[in-house]
Amino acid sequence: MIHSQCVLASRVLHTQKQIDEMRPVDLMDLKLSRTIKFTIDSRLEHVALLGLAVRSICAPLPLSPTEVYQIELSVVEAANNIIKHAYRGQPGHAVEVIATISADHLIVEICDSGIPIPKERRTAADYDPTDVLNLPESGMGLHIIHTAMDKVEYERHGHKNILRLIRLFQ
Amino acid sequence: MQIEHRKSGDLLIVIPQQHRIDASSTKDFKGKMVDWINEGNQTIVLDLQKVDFIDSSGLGAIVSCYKSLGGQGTLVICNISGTVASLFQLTRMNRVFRIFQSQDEAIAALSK
Repeated sequence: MIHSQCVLASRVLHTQKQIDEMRPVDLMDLKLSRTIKFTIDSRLEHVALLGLAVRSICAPLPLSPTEVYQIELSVVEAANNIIKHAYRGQPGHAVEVIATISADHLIVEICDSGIPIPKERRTAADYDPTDVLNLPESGMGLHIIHTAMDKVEYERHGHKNILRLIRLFQ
Repeated sequence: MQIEHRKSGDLLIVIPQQHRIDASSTKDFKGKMVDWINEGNQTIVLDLQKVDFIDSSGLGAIVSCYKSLGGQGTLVICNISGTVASLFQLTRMNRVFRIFQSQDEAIAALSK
């Protein structure tokens, strides 16, 4: 889908033959605005679809397989948290993802209109991996997001919560 | 969630057949694992050869199974992809679980 958008937006500057010969990474150099939005219902069984969409968006970008996995993982963790906590496990609410690709970075915003993340939970919790009996079985999502992404921001606009994940291209 | 399992001596070899162990499948995965632990299986090899995605819920379920052994047994992991291994590194769970390249390597280490 991103590829198609790039092609459509590039016709003024390039012939179709030139575009056809471009690799996805070349298309990124055109520095065109490329944003894709998609929404799932607040059901855990739909989160895999969201993850696969993010994986596809990342595929042509200059990211390693591990970086792509970690971006997908971060988005999945954010969506899981929204469904479990912001919407308290209730289906019928929107989990919106907005991915914006720039020449040197990717921004993924995960938005909801549920209960905001409490301030004390917005930073990553820590734990001792050698203390087996007290190893966490939940609550690792924000730790993963903060560790995997280059920058994490959280905002609330009116009734909308926005978690913004930023990954720079090395 | 489909999970293939078989005995090799005292070891229980567990091979999830789905690509993802995530929040939507964790309950099923954990339920089956706990059943096998309650049946007396104390040494478990979790073979992740078919799994290409685990989230923190899936990891939490694996941790929960490990804790269910109550220090009496062990749970090791093998055939993990490089990407899934990065989850264990991000969460430092690579310091908790013994991770082997192959099932044969895991079985050999546990049979000593």
